[in-house]
Amino acid sequence: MLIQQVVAFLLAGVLMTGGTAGGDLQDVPQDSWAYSYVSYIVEHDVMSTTKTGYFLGEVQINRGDFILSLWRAAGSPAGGSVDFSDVKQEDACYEALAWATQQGICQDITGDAFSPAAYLNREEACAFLWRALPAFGVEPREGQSGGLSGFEDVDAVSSWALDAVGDLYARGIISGTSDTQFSPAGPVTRNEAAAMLYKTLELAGKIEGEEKPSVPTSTVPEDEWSWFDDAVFVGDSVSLKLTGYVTKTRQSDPDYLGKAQFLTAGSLGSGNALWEVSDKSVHPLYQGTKMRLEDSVQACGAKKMYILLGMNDIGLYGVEDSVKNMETLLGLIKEKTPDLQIFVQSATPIHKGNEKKVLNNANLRLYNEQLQEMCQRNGYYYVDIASVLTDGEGYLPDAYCSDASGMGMHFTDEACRIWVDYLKQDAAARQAG
Amino acid sequence: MKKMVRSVLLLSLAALMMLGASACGGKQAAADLDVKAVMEDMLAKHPIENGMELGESDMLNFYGIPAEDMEAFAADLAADGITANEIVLVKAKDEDSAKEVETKLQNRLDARRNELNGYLPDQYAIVEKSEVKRDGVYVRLIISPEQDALVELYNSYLNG
Repeated sequence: MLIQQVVAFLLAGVLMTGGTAGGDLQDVPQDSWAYSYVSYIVEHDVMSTTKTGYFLGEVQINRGDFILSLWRAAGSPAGGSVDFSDVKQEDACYEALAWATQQGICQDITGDAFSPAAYLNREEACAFLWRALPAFGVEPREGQSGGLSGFEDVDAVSSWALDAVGDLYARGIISGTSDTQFSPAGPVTRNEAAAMLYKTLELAGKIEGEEKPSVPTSTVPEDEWSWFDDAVFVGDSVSLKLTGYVTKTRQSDPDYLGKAQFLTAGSLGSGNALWEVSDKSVHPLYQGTKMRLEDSVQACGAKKMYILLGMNDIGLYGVEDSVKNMETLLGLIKEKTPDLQIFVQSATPIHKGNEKKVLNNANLRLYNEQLQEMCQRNGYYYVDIASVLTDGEGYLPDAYCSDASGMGMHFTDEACRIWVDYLKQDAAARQAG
Repeated sequence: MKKMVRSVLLLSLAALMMLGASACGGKQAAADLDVKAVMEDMLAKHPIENGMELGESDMLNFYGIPAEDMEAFAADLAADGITANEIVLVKAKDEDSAKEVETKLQNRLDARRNELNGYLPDQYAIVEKSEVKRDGVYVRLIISPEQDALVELYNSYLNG
C-alpha cells in the first residue's frame, strides 16, 4: 500500500509536469514492467487510455471495469441478461455483466447487487478470470492450490477462490505480491489487470497474429473537467479550503473542476448532519438557506456527490459509530436523490505532532477501511484521496499542512492541487474503463 | 394672545425638529456610495491575507444573493475557510431587496458563528463581535480582526 501511495503520488507529479512515456502511452514508460502488457491490451481495445493517452496504470480497478475488460478480451460476446439491482442498461459494463452472468462468472454474488463501483481485490480477480477461462478455450483446473504453500498468508485465501488462485498461480497468470505473501485481499491496479488479461490471451494462444478480440471503443470525455459539472462536494473545514481554492482558481481557469458546487461547513460531521436544522446546527447553507444535507444535495441538482467527513466525528463517536452515522446519512441523501452517484472520499491524515488521543492517524486509517467496506455494501464509490496526501510515515506532509501550529489537519494550496488532480485521474480512469 | 404665542412657539419648535431630522438622515451622500471603491480602500488599509474576490455567481453560491437584488457589490474573504476575515458590501436595487440581502448575510454570519464556536476560539471571538448592518439600500457584513477600523472607514464613506 505504501509503494502504491508513493507511485500514485509520483504518477500525479508526472501528469502535472507533462510526463514522459514511450509511444502513445503517456504514463507507461517502455522500460516499465507493465509496458508490453498494457500496450498490447490498449492496442487491441481491451482497455483504454484517456483521450490524452494516459493509462493510469496505478489506479485501482473496480469490479465493473474488470468484467468489462474481461468481456472485451473474450471477444465481446453477446447474450445473457443482468439481474443486478445496481446495474442499469445504460451502464458501460451492462453487456459485459450480462455475458458474465450467463457464463456463471459472477455466480457467488450474494444479494442482488453486483457493486460495480467497488474495488476489486486479487482473489476476486482470480475467481472471475478463472471462471471465464472456457470463453478463451482454456479448461480451468481444480485442486492446484498446493502450489501456494510457500505463501505465509495462503490461509487468508477464501475457500471459494482457492481453486482459481491456485490454478492461475500455477499457470503464471498471477504471482505473489512478494516471495512470502500472496495478499488475496490486496488491490488490483489497472496495470496488473492488463497483465493478467494479456497472460490469459497468451495462454489461450491468442497473441501474435492469432484471433484478436473485436471490442467497441470506449467513450472518453474530450473535456477533462466535464465529469464534475454535475458534482457537489460535501464536507467540513478541510473541504472549506477546497471550496476557496477552487473558487480562486476558477478566476483564472473558469473550467477548473467543471461546474462542481460545494456544500461545506466548518465543524460538519456525519453525526451533526443528522440533527434537525436549528439556530445552532452547522448544516451548510445552500444559496443562503440552511438545510439538511439530503435537502441541499437535492436542491442543487447534483448527480454526483463527493463527500469527505470524519474529522468532526471520530473524536466524538469513535470509528465504528462514525461509519454508522455516515452510512445513515448517505442513505437519507440517496433516498431523496435516488440517481445520485456517491463518491466517499477517504479521510485524510493529521500532521506529525498534532494527533489527539482518539482523533489520530491509526483511527483514521481504521475509519477508512470501514468506510470502504461500507461503500462495497451499498454500491458507493470509494475514492482514496488519502493515498496521495500521506507521507511515508502516515502523516499529512509538512508541505500540505497549513496549520501545523494549530489543528494540523487543514490544507495548503498545494495539497488542494494534488487532491483535485487525483480526482481528475480517478474520474478519467472510471470513464476509460 | 398667550395661546397664540404658545401655538406659534410650538409650531416653530416642530418645524425646527423636522428640519433637524432631515438634516440627520437620508443624506444625499449615501446614494453615491461606491461600494467597490470603499472595498478597495478597506483592503488597501487592512488587506485580507490569502483573500479572494467574489464574483456575481459566487454571491449566489456563498450567500444566496442573486444578481437581480444587487445594483453593485464588493466581497472579499479569506480563502482558507477557517480564518474569520470577510467583507461583503452590497448596494441593493431597492429597500425590499436590501432587506433580503440583510437576511441572507445574517444567515451567513450566524452560520460562521456556529461553525467556529468551540472549534477555533480565536476566530470565533472575531465573528462574535461582527454584525450585519443595513442603511437604506446599503448592507454590509464585516468580519475582521480590524472590525472597528473597518466599520469607521465604511461609515466615513456612508455619511459623507
